[in-house]
Amino acid sequence: MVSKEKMRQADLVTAVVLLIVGIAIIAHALTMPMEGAYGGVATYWYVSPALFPLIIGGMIIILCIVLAVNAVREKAHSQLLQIIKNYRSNRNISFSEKFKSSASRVLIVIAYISGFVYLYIPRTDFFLNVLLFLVIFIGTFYPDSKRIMSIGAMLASSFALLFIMLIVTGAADFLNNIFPYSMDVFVLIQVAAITIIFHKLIQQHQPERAQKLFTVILVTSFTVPLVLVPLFRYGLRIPLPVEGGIISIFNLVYYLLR
Amino acid sequence: MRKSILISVLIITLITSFVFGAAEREYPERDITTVVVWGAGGGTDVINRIIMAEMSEILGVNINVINVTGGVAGSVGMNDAFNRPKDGYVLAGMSESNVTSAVMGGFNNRVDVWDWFIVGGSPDVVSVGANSPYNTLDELIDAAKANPGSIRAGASGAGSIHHLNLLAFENGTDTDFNFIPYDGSAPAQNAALTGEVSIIITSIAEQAQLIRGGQLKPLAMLEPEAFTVDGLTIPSSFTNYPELAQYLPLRQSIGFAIAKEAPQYAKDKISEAFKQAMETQAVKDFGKNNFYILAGLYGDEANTLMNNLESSFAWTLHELGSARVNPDSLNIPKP
Amino acid sequence: MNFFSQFGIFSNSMGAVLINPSAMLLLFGSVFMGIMFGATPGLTATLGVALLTTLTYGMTTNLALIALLGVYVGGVYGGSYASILLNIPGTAASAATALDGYPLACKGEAGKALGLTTTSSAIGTIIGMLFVVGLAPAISKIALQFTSFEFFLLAFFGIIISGTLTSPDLVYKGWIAGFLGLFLSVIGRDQLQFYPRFTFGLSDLDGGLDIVPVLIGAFGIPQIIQVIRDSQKPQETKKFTRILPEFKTIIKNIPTIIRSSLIGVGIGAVPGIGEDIAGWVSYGAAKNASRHPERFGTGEVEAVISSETANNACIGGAMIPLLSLGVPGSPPAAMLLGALMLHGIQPGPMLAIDHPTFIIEIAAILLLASFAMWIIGIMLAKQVVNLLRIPTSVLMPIIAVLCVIGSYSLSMRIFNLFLMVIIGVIVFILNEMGYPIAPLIIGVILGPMADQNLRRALMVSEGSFLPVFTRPVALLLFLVICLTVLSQTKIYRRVLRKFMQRISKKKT
Repeated sequence: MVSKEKMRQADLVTAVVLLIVGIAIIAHALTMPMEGAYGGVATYWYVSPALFPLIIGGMIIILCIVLAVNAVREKAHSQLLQIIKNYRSNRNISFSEKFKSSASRVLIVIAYISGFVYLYIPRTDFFLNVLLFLVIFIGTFYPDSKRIMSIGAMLASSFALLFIMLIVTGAADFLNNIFPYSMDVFVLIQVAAITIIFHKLIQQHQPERAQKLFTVILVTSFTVPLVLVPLFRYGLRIPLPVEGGIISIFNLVYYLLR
Repeated sequence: MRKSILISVLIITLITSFVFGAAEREYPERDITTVVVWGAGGGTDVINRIIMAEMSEILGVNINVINVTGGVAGSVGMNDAFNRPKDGYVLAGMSESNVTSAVMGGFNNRVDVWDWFIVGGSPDVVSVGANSPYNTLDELIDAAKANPGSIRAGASGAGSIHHLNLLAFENGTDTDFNFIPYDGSAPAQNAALTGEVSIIITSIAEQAQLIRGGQLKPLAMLEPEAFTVDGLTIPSSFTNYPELAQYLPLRQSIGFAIAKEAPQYAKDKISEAFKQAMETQAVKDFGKNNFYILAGLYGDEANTLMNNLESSFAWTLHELGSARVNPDSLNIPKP
Repeated sequence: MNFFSQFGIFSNSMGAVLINPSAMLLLFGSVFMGIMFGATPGLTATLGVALLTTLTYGMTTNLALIALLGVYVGGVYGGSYASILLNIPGTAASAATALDGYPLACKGEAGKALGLTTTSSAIGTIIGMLFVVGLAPAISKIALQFTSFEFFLLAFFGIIISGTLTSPDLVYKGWIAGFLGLFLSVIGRDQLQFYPRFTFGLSDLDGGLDIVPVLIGAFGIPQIIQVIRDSQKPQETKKFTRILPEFKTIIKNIPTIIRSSLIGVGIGAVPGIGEDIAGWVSYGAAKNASRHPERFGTGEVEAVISSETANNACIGGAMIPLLSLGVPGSPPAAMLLGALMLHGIQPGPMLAIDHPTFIIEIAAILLLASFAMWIIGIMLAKQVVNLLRIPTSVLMPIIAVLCVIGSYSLSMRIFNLFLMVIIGVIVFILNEMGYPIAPLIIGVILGPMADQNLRRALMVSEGSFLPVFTRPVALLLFLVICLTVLSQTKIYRRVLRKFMQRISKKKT
């Protein structure tokens, strides 16, 4: 938990941001039909779809003002101004080492999850995506070494960039037309490449624990999708987001065995 | 070691993709998926689960029933089912309300991209709470004419089958009610019990228990024929108000559909299984116990029915001003 | 039917299950499956019941009921595992449990917490069952007093109370979070007129935001981020040698258990709201009644017991309107209604005439299911705490994958995954700024109810607020809301202090 003083400063910032959100809600709500007939229902002010958003927007604004006033009373605004002034006069302000490391960890986690969800899941085989996500995520954080973390993050983002390039240029569609699972193969190559690089890195930086670390990374990354995918696909009978090359093999095996 | 695994995986992937390419085999050779576009436990869901259970015995494969809900008029599930491979292994569990999805802006195609199989539906009935002052339809209509727009009528949301029945009822009897929308028939019926609304229009299947338990008083069927629930005969509203015949009946049509582009051999098999399933005792008993009128329509008959429903729903919604897409632009004919 | 013949049927139907090995196997299997469903974020009791509905179609009605009720009871209870161990509620029903369950786990008392929730869930289920048998008609009559105004006030109350209870900082921030949740619930076509609100033309938003991805996003993602950031680790669980939970603690908390059960049954009986709300309201009541309300949120045993008892008691409550009126009291109960219809049973007023022994049979199965749940729970608790031994940097990515597949599997939309991540990041930031998460979720859950019922109520009263004061239940709810808000202001506290002083003076 942060100090009370810092919290009041944060309050002032969020109050202003949310105040704007509240105003935006009201502004948008005012464009909705207020009176007249809509959808077969005679509309008075109290039936209007705008009624509830107006109440919500209004309450948010009121509560934000209360919050802001409270913060100002405790002198949060002058402290904030002071911070900004300090920052301006002294650009190379140094954040504490601890703050830097935790901030970069937060950013990496968010980036990994976003990439997994926005970039890979809608496009390539679910099994491979899970495998890739786990190898990268566990590989980045589990060895507990800053160097491995930053290299892992860099690797992942450069592969993601390459994937984006393939999609934007249309190469992904082109390759998929030639061979339906091209992009799955691309992900598979990523998994292989990243595994090999992590293997090297771990041996370099954590030689005494290398064997154990690497086993844990590989075993978990493979077991989880190997359990989850058949469980959801055949046990719960939930079709997965994209069923590419690997899940087709699963299907083949499943129908052969049955 | 790792490299050899990699290579073997690649080879397997290649082989499977070829195997999948070349095939016309015995249908069905694997499980069929039915995407029900309405929530679990609702009428469409229950009917699909029962008919699919019977059909799966006839076809000899599992039929998985899943619920994909949301959107306008079930559009999320409709798009989901429609965008899956049209190989005959995907069915969509739908009802008459889905025909509005296109004009509401949720689905880019008309109903004619499907081949329909209609299990049946339950007819609508006008009812009042047990303590209501109205005992016959005539008393209700007289009261409504004396104070236009003051009697509260509950039904599920704007554009639902029950709402359209209410509109038709108003038009045919030249009355005007204060329509209070609910998000489903069950809450509307609750409101009739608590006295929040004076009359409700929902299907007899949904009301049957409350009618039999004496909590609701049925006044008239919105159908040309009378209907009997446990020895209690509910008269048809057409007897005293023949003008209703111009607007009614609008009956629920619950069932499922397969994409029109699916291979013909699959559609033939499904049709045959559907026909047999409709004849089973389980389906017949279900219909009887739950006050559904079984239709068992498929092929041209079913498609024509859904087309007609689409035009009547679409144009009514357009007139009400709640359609987002002009029915003309979708080439939906006027009813 | 007199008491003795009822009891005869009750013990007969219980005996029939007990001597039938396949029925017992089914019972334990389905309860176990329910617990697994509950414990996995995203898989809910509703999905479990839906899945078993199809699988049990071919069975006899009695066997099907054993499976369905087993999965229901297990699913509601199982949510507490993830809440306590990971601070990510497995289901919305156990969100309140996380508030004190996770701090307990951090103190190394995860085993104790799980043992207690197991026992209190079982007791809650049994008490709920007693109400099904004893008071079904009376309770459903009261539940029917709820018209649109009452539903609106109830929803509003839920948001205010959760904002008040869970705010770690200023209480306004809890309320702001609640209103933000309400705003999220407004997105989509409104259910009364189908007018698209805040959809910005995106058809994916037309249907509104699904609750499950929002829930997982709001609880799961920030938790993953925070744990990885701090590389924190809940303390190694103390070895707990006793498998049986501490009966002393249970006996000490009997008033809490009874109060929570009553709240659970009552809320379950009101159609449209279910286990999720029951947990919160009961938590609030326990906090108000406690002698040490300040300890709530730091790992108070009473808090965990209160929410877990209530959400399981809610099962019985939800069965009451289902069986007596054919109106499901909660989402899983709605699926149960569909399943019963498949087996040719129409719940409703005529049930007592068509199938006179049916309610007793349900009660017997509920009792057996709660025993099965207790036995499995006590055995599992020992194993499950081992999860905490896994290093967080390995566990958290697995949880992330589970969050993803969980958000996806309920409605099978990739859009829900996109939504989950956005909500997760926003909530992470809000959480860092000292805003509680829970009111936001309650807002999303209760928003549609508040919105529709407010407008519908005004439609019925033609724009007048008078019914709030003329309807007894509404007036009561209104006064409780006013009191809750007022109790947070300084004036109220000052008046209260003076009042107390005067009383103490008079005494002397």
